[in-house]
Amino acid sequence: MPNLFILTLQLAVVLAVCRVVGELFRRIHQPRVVGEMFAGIMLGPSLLGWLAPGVEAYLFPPSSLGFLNALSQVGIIVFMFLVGLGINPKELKKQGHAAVLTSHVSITAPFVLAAFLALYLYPRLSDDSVSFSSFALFMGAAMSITAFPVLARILAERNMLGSRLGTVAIACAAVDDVTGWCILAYIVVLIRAEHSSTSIWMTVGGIAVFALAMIHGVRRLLRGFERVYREKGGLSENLMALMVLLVLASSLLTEYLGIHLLFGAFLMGAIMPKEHRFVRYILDRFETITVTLLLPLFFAFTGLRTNIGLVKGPQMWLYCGLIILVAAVGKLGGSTLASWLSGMPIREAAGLGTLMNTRGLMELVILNIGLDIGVISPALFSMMVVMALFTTFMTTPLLRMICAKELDASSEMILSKAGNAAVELSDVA
Amino acid sequence: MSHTNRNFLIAYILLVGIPLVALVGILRAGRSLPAPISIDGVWKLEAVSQGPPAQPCGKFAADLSNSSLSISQSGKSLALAFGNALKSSSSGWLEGTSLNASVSPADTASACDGEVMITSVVDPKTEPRSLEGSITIKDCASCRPILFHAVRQARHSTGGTR
Repeated sequence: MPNLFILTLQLAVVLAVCRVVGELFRRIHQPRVVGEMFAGIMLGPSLLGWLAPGVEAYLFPPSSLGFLNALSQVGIIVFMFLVGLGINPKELKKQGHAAVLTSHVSITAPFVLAAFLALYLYPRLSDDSVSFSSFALFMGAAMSITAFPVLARILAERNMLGSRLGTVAIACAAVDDVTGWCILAYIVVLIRAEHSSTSIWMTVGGIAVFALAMIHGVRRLLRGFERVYREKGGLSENLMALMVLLVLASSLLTEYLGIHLLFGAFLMGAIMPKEHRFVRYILDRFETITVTLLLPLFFAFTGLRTNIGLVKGPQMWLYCGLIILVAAVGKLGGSTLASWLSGMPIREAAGLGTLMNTRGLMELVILNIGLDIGVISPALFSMMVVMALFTTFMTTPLLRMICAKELDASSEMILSKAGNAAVELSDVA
Repeated sequence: MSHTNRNFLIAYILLVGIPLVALVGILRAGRSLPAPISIDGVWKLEAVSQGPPAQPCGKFAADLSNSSLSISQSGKSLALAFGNALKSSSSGWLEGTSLNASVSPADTASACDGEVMITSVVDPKTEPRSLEGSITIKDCASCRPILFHAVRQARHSTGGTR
């Protein structure tokens, strides 16, 4: 049984710290979610545990972390469903060659550079329980991800959602996330297969059948939700409960099949109908509790697992610096180069590269999975969290520097992209 | 094929196709890379010889040798946490199959103010992995080392204990 007093105290402290730090970050023109990520780190061994170990030990005793984790995972399941809901593959098609090339390069460039860096890091930060392939592929997937919701939030706050830069960035980020999650699913299967008696081909086959059934079968049935919404202007509580049940069932199936709960939630969101008002309606019902309560718990749980103290000595900080450099060069440089070669003006291309370099919350989700399955070590996890914070934090000031003119122009623009699902997802972040 | 499409194809091959080929090469090259042996996880320690429990540090060392040890591994760098009532933690280093760590009991309830050294050797061939080692009290010439044996406990089903 959880100690309800401690659990309630944890909820209160996490909520208060996340709100305060989030607000402080807003004042320095950063998205609130970046502040909340920092707040999570502050509550962990990196700051609170370092300054006041007694307070941290009282607030977050090891025996209570299981309950905190369970609550935060429920939040992430809902969040991944909402991320999937906001992704609309049709957006990419509208953008043409430039977006296709940029999105693919923004995955391959950081991926290959990360794999190259893995040659150096594997003997230093991993061990023989993890194969090099798993390690390198995970590093690649973790570095090639873009935080679609945080990106949407930054664009919304800068009034750039309707600009060409904004729409291309959103489309590319959506492709990056879908690709990144597919690669991650493969890595999870690979690693779990090493510890399981079930053949990897059985697992892959099961997942393929599940994905096909979802995309070609369940997707059609889900249109019923939208139809009811159109006819009645809303969904009954029973239908909302059914939707939640479907998300949970999908999550459980992917977990059973050997990947992760979150893939099922993401896939269920991705195959939901994408009509703007329907998406808005669903988001309205889920996002408040997710954003205000459950996501801060995830940040706190991530912060409790992040120990910057493990990154000690100049050598470890060199590794951390290399990770940040490779992540930024791969993502920012790769996206900039590809969009510039596709005909975008260099300033706009650099702006797109900067936006694609935003990793934020999605990176934390992936890193937590990596730590859970043992593919990354605690020190590497901490370094990657630092990288995620750094690359997310640098986006807004860099964007202001590079795209000052575009920002001025877009602030005067009336946003005509009300139908863009990213508008809604910006609230989620 | 139009001029635009041809340029797109060339750019795609250069920026996506070639890096993917490079990725295959990297994955192949990495297969032969050695990594430190895995000692991550929870270990159950058992003393196989008695030390000098009369002294505060001797008592502390004896307690260590009969506790559980949680090792969090990041390559060669180790973070150690002792279980039971000790609640003591330290950092260590892995070199090949040799584990070296020092535990300072200053923050614990123990009256020992010295430094306790742990040296051990991992047997990578046994499954579950085992450790053979000794706990010595630094700056205590008269204290005999306590020999211990440790076995790694079963890992969680998620595939890792980290």
